[in-house]
Amino acid sequence: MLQTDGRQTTGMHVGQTLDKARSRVWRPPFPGWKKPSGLLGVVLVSSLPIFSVFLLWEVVAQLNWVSASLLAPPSTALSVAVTYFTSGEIFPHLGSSLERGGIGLALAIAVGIPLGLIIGFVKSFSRALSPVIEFLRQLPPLAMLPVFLLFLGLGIRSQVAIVLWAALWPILLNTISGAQNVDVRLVKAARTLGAGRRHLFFKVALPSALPTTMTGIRLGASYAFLVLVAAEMIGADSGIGYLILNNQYIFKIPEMYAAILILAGFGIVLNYSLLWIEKVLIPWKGRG
Amino acid sequence: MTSVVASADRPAANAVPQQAKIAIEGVTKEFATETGGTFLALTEVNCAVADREFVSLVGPSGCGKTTLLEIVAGLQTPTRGRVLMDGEEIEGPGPDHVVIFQQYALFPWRTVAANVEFPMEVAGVGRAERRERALENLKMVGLDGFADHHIWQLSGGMQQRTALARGIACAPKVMLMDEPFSGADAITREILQDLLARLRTETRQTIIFVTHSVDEAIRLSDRILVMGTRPGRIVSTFDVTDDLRAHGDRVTELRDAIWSVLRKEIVPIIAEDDRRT
Repeated sequence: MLQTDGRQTTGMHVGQTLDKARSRVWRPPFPGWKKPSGLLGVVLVSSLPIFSVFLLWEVVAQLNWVSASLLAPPSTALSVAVTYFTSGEIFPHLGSSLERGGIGLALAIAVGIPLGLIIGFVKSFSRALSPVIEFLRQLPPLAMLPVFLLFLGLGIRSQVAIVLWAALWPILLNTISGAQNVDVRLVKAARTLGAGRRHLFFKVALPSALPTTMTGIRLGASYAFLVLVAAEMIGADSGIGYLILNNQYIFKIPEMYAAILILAGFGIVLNYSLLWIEKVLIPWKGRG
Repeated sequence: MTSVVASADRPAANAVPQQAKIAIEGVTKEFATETGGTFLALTEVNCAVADREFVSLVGPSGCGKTTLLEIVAGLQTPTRGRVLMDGEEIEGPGPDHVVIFQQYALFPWRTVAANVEFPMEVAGVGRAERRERALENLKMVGLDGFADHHIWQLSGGMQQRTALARGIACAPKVMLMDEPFSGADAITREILQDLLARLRTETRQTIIFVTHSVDEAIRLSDRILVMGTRPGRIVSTFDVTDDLRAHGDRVTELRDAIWSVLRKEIVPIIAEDDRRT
């Protein structure tokens, strides 16, 4: 049997369980504290920690506890980030990162889902292919970059290849496990209702696997994001990853931090969009 | 009864009455155990279910009643013996002998109506027609107005009604029900039993019904088969009529009779298990 990435999924599960436990029983952090109510209260509570981090960062930088050649205050970084957008300077970089990441992720989805469904659905396939998959997925994407560079050269093709490589495995493995763990009762029911093997594949296995597949896509997207930034630092002449490293080379420290902040924002937007897509596509998740 | 189906090339077994809708002939089921031995789940089960008959299988847990139902459903194959439907051997699952499961087994990604449409969809019925028929079926189970609800928005009782509507949508020759109401609370259960009784008079459906509730069996069936355990087999048969159901004292009498058979099956097992532990 093929396993999904244990560390990642378990980690997420523990987090989710903790969140649930926290939301069920709410204890005041100190006596006399009232539970925040209303939108304003919720926003205040959830933004307090992040605000504190920025405040600390600002103080450390402004008081020159750390040299300005190493650390720029977030206020400066933010205003530089805004200028990046107003001047339009960021868009070519954002565009090429989006292009590489988008194409790579789309290819990983286009390959991973059909392949995963077939491997998971046909028992002999999963038995035959699991050793190969287990071997290939152990190869870290960044270790594959020299190979891709060798074959595909500097530029978009090797960047897309590495994103594809990083995103493919979680999508493939999660789809396989989703197709393998279809509820036996649903298969039995479908068969007694007259479903043949083709119907079982398209009308039972495919929708059953979707929630697990979607988790794979979210994992794949975050791997793709990490790998893309690193790859852009090594073998590209544009992209957010390139911009960060290049700013460091030419001692544009505030610009470097600005690019890092933009990158973080990009990641947050990506994650929330995927969560939203998941909600729209799989409204039954967790309620089956 | 005139609709006798017996194929010319295979003479119907003599032991089985000609009008049998379902004929269970010498069904034996063995399972391989982990220690390499065999476990006899069912032995020599013989039974004929007439057209439009409602037969209940009652027995203690582990008597193989679900196994027997799954063999009739074609979801399991018997080690020996066979099951005939209208004289034809059942070789696999199919909509003409559909199963209603205890845990509903509805597709969570489909709406209520789309669940009911499923058997028609795989049979190739056109979109408009199957929608129309699904709405009719939902009306029969009292779920009109819930067609476009999601499954998770329904209560357990409503989910079982949906499963029932989906079963009816198959237009089955026989409906196989595996403890369909045992997940419901007492009140919901009564309501579902009433619904099934009404549907049965409307559709004149042949039904094989597995339950561990003697009262439920008395309430719904024409005939009750009491199963014994180790190995699973039919030990007694009781006929039930509307006339009997109308007399409380006779119902009590029947219940006591069934229980005394069941007790004989259960007591030695408890004693045996006590010795083992």
